[in-house]
Amino acid sequence: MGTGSLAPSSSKVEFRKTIFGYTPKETPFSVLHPLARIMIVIIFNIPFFIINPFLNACFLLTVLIFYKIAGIPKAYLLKFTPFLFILTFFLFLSFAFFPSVWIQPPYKHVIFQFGFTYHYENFIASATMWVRWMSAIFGILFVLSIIDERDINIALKTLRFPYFFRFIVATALRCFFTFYYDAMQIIEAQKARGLDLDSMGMFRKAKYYAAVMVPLIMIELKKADEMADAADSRGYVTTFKSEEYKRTEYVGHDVVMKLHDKLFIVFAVTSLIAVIIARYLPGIGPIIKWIPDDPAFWTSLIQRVF
Amino acid sequence: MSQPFISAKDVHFKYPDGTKALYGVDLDIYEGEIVSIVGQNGSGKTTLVKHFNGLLKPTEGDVLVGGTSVKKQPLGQLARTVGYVYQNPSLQLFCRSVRDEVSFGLKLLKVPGNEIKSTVEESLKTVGLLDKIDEYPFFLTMGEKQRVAIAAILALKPKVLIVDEPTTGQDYKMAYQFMKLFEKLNKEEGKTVIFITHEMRFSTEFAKRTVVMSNGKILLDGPSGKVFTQVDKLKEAFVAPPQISELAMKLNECGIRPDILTVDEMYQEIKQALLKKRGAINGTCN
Repeated sequence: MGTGSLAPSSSKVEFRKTIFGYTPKETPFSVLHPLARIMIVIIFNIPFFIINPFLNACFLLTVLIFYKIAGIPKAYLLKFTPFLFILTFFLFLSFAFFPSVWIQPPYKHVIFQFGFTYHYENFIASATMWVRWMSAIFGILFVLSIIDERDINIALKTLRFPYFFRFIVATALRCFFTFYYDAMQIIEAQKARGLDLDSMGMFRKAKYYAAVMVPLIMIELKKADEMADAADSRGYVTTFKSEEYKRTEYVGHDVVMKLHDKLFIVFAVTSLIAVIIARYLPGIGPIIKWIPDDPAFWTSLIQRVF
Repeated sequence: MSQPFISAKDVHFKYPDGTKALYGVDLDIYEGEIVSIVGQNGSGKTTLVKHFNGLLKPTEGDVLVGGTSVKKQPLGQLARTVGYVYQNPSLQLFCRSVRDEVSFGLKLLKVPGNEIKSTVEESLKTVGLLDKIDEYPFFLTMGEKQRVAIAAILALKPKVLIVDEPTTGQDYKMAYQFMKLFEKLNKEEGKTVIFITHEMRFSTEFAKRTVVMSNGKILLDGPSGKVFTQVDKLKEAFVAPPQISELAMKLNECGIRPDILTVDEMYQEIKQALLKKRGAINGTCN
């Protein structure tokens, strides 16, 4: 305890443990089959086939609205702020020095010169890529907020993945929480010795990370060994030949795929295929691949709006 | 009466998942005390003591250590004042030698090199592991690992030692040795020792004062002898008094005092009662 996730305290809303943390149990997305919920990832990866930043911004806005609808605590997203900040920094940095394939050089519109020249074209290419990545990342994090490892197991079962593969995936996912919990315990234990990683800068933190990683690896190796022994003692056998012995499996037998789930899955997959095809269609293709490569676009837009 | 060294004032605590663990706890710990905290699992014992070294901060109320709120003291500083010994030493061990392990905390606090050397040796001598100073910690036995963890905390010279279930998983001899060590640190070095335990016999033998917790609140707090006579309250906390205390309470109707905590005390009490009855002159049973 004390190292868990950040569900808001509310006596009325029931929470359940998902891969991301404690999120509200009943949401509009709860009616979807686990496989349908996972398909949401496909929808929010469609921006990778779209260049138009306005269209991609719609996907980003949609996923943020989904977060609001599902009641996922803001604190979960805030946890990822350092990662998102670093990603943003490197995205903009890379496009500062390397031209984008979407806008062919020479670039005409200079924003500033500081040892190197930074053009508007660099900036808009970075921003366009940024919106794509944010949509995908937030989409994945959203899905992880509304499913748990049992849901993934059910989804894989629906897709007819073999039992041994599903067992490995489910165990690995369950072990993630154990891993995370143990890491938090170790960080706390080292704090008791005066090693407060939270208050350290990035480089100093990296220097002392061995104080967390070494005991963590030792503990997890021991646990892995014990888990293998526990599985053996319960008669678990990995076999490629399921007809060799009967296995009773109860997971997800009460979870049935309904019409709306099938429609949703079809919608997700069809949307992805449609966008891929539409890129090459006259009329729609240019819209999908359009990028505002002239800063005059923004001034005229502002003039039109205001 | 002197000021308490650790003071919990109306401490409430709620975990991030919404579970409330402490409901308005007030507790004062004075310097030089040995206090045991008992209670069933989930009663809030560990949660409470983690406030004393700043690992947890109260959601309401405050905890003062040395007169200053823990909210205002950095963890590094608190680690020098309040040492926390974990139940599982493997959570902390990561260095290549016992020497490095024990000196780690001192290096973090930028203690001079020659002082580190003497402090490390002194700490290892206290726990009886000076001969293992160059050993790889992971190759030690569980009891030795625990002693290394204790030495690493002692090296920081804390005024208070919090020991979380030091006897769990230990055989009786090892558990008893640990408790004797803490008693020695209290008597010889004046350290305040707070230990959480499920072993009531250690509570009665080593702690002058016992705190009983239940459902995030303090149910009983007082001299161990008195606390373990409050059978009804102990039942509420799902705590069973030590057998010797139960026997003493049952024999109270025969004139045995009910606040007996150890076999030796019971022996003396019964002996006196029998001698009185027999009217023995020379003070022996013969």
